[in-house]
Amino acid sequence: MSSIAIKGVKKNYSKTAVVHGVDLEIATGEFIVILGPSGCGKSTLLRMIAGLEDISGGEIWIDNKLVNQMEPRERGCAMVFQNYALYPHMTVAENIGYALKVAGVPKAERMKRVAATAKVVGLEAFLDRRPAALSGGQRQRVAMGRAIVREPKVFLFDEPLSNLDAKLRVAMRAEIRRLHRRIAASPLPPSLSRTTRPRR
Amino acid sequence: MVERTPIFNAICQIVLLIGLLTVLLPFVIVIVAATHDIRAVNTVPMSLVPGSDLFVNLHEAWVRADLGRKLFNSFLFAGAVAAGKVLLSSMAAFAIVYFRFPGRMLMFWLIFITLMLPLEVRIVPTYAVAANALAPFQAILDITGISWLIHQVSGLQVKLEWGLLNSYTGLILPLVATATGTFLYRQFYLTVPDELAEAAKMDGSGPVRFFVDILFPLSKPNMIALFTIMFVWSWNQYLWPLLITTDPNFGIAVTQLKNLIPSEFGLPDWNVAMAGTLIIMAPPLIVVILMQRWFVRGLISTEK
Amino acid sequence: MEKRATFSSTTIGLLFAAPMLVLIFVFFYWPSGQALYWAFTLEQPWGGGNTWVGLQNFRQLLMDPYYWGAISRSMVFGLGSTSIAMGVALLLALFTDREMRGHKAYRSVFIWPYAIAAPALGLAFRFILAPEAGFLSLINQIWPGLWNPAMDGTDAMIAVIIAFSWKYIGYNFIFFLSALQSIPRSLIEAAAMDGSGPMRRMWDIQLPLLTPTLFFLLVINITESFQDSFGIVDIMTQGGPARATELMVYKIYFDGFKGLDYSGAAAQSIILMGLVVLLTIVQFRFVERRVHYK
Repeated sequence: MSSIAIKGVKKNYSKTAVVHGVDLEIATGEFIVILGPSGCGKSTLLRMIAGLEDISGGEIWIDNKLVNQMEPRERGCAMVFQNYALYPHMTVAENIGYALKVAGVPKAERMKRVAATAKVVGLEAFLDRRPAALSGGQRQRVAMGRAIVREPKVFLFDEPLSNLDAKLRVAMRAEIRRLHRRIAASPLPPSLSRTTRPRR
Repeated sequence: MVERTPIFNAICQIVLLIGLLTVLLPFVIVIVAATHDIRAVNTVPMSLVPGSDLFVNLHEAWVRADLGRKLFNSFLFAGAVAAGKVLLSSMAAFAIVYFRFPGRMLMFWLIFITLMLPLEVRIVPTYAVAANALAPFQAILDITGISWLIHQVSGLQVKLEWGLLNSYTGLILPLVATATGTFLYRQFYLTVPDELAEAAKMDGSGPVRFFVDILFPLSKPNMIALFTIMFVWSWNQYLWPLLITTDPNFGIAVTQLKNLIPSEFGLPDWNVAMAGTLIIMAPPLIVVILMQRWFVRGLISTEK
Repeated sequence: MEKRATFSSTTIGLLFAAPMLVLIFVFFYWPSGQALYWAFTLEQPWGGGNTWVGLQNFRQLLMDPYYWGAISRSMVFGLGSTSIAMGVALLLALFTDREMRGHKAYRSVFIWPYAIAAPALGLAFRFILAPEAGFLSLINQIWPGLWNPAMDGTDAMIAVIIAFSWKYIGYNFIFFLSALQSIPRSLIEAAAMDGSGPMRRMWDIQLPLLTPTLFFLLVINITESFQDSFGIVDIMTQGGPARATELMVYKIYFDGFKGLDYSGAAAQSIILMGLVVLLTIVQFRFVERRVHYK
C-alpha cells in the first residue's frame, strides 16, 4: 500500500530552479534508483520526499495522502544520509533506538527491536560501541539499522555507497538488495528509492 | 525543513526579542542620555525621546577628557599592538612549523605557556620591569660575572637602562608579548600544502623568500582576522595603560573614562559622561560591525 | 601534525623566532620569576635589598580575613556572572541557530557587547543602575531605599555582575553559535526523521554535542572574570562600598600600587597565577577527550 506519487514537483532556491517539475510514480515494494550527474537535484528530490526541504511547486503523495505540509516525522519515511549522520555521542544501540525512544516506545520493547534490527544488519557485536570506533561499512550498517528499526513506509538512501571503498561498495550493494528482498516480503512492503551518481 | 511548531517558534521569537532588547537597551540609553541636558538626564525615569544637546555634550566631553589627543594615542596604541602581534606571531609560528632545529619543542612550549597568564595577573612585576626594560639583561650580566669582567678589563661600569614608563613603547610592547596570534598562524601554516614549500624550494627560494613571497600573501585572511581582534582587544585595555601612563601626553581614551565619572556633589552631569562613553566605545564597535566575519573567525581560532 | 617540507637553516629559524622570544622573556618570564622572588622575600624599609622570609608572606595573607574576603567575593562574582552570561548566551544561540526570521540581525547584534571596553560599559551601567538617576531609580520611587549600589554591598555586587555578564553574553554567543553551526546539518535532520521536535533535538543532540564548548567557555569566563572585571569594578565601585566588590585583581592593584606592598601583592599574584594555571590544566585535560563529530 505504500506508494509514492510525485506530481510536477519543483524546487527553487531564491530564483534558481533546481528541480524543474518531476513526475514519478513508485509502486509498493518497488526499488527505484535515481541517476544523474552531480548537482542535478537527486538529493533535493529525496529530501523533498522526506520533508527536509520545502516544496516550491507540485505535489507529493505517499499512500494516497498529500504530504506537502507534513513534517518529516509524520510522513513515515526513513533516510540513510550520505555521511550517515550518526549521533557521535550515542552508542550503536542508542543510535538505532533513538527514533523509538522519541516515539515513546517502552524500554524493554525498544531493546528487543534494536536487538532484532542489529541482527538484520549484522551489528550484534557492536551495540555498545560509539560511531567513532566503527569502520566505514559498519557505520553504514548502523545508518541502515536506524532506518529499518521504525518499519517505515519509505526508505530513502542518499548516495549510500559514495563514502565506501570499491570492495565495500559491491558488498553493500548486495546487502541493500538483500535487505530490499527481505523487507519487501513483509505484508506491507515499503517503497525503496535511492540516488546514486553514475559510475564511470 | 517542513516543521509546524507555531508555539515553540513564538516562544523562540519572544526570547530572541527580549535578548535583543537586553543587548540594545544599554546602547540606546547611552545614546539618548548623551542628547539630554543636565536636567533631563536626571529626571526619573529619563525620557527615551532624544533631546537636542548631543553636540554640546560631545563637545564638552571631548574637551574635558582631552579626547583629541587621547583618541589619537588610542589609535596609535591599538594599531601598533595589533600590527606587532601580526608580525611577530607570523614569524614565530614560521620558525616553529617550518624548521627542524634542536630546542624547537622547548620554544614551542615557552611561547605556549604565555597563553595561560594574562597581564592583569602578573601586573605588579611587569610594571617593575617596564621601569627598566633592560633590567633582566643587567641581572644576567651581573650574575654571570660578565659585568665584573668588563669592569676589570675596560674600567667601564655596565649599567643598562631603558625606562618604558610614560612612553608608547612601554604601552605597546608588554601587550604584544603573548602567544595568542602565534597559534592562529601555526594552525594556518599546518593547513598549507607541503607541495607549496617543495615547489618553492625547486624554484630555488630559501626560507626568507618563501615566507615573504608565498606564506605572507597566503595568510592575508589570518592577518585581517588577527588584526581585527587584536585592535579591539588593545583599544579596550585599561589596567596596563592606567599604570604605565601618568603623563597625560601618553594617556589613551579608555583610561579617560575615570575623569568622566560625575562628581558626587551637585547635579551629576551624566549627559556629558555618556557622551564621552559614546565616543570612546565607538571605534571598536564600528570595527566589529564592519569586520564581523573576520572578528568572529579570528576569535574562534585564536582561543582554541 | 608535522611538516614534510622544512628548511634546514637553524640560524634563520632562530632569527624568525627571536623577536617573540626576547619579548616574552622580558615581559613574561622575567616578571613572573620576579613575582616568585618577591613573594618569598621582604623589602627592607630603608633600602638594602630583600631578605628571604620563606612562606611568611603567604602565611600573612592566608591569615588575613580581607584576603579571604577578596577570594570569596571573586568566586561569587565569577560564578554569578559566568552562569548568567553563559545561560543567556546559550539560549540565544540555540534559538538563533533555528534560522527563523531575522536571524541574521540577531547574529550580529548579539556580538556587539563584546566590543565594548569593560570600563566604558562600567560607566554606562553605573548610570543605568544609579540609584538617583537612570532607570533602576524607578524602584526607589516605589520602595524608597530598596536599591542603592553606592551604599549597599549586595546591590553593588549585583550591579558589577550585571555589567560583566552583559559583555560576556556577546563573547559566549559567538562560541556557542559557531559550535552549533559546526554540528553537521544532517545530524539534526536525522533526528527530525527519527521524529524528534525542535526542543527535543536541542536537548538530545545539540546540548550533548556542545559539552566541550560549554566546558571551554566555563573556564574562559571564570578566568576572564578575574581579569576583565578590573575596569568594571574600578569605574563602578572602586571596590566599595566597604570592600564589598573588592575582587582579587583589584586587591592586588590596590595593595601593590596604592599600598606599595610589593611582597604582599606578589604573593597574591602567585596564588592567582596558580588558580588560573589550575583552571587551564583542567580545561586541557578535558579538551583531550573532546567529542568527535565524525
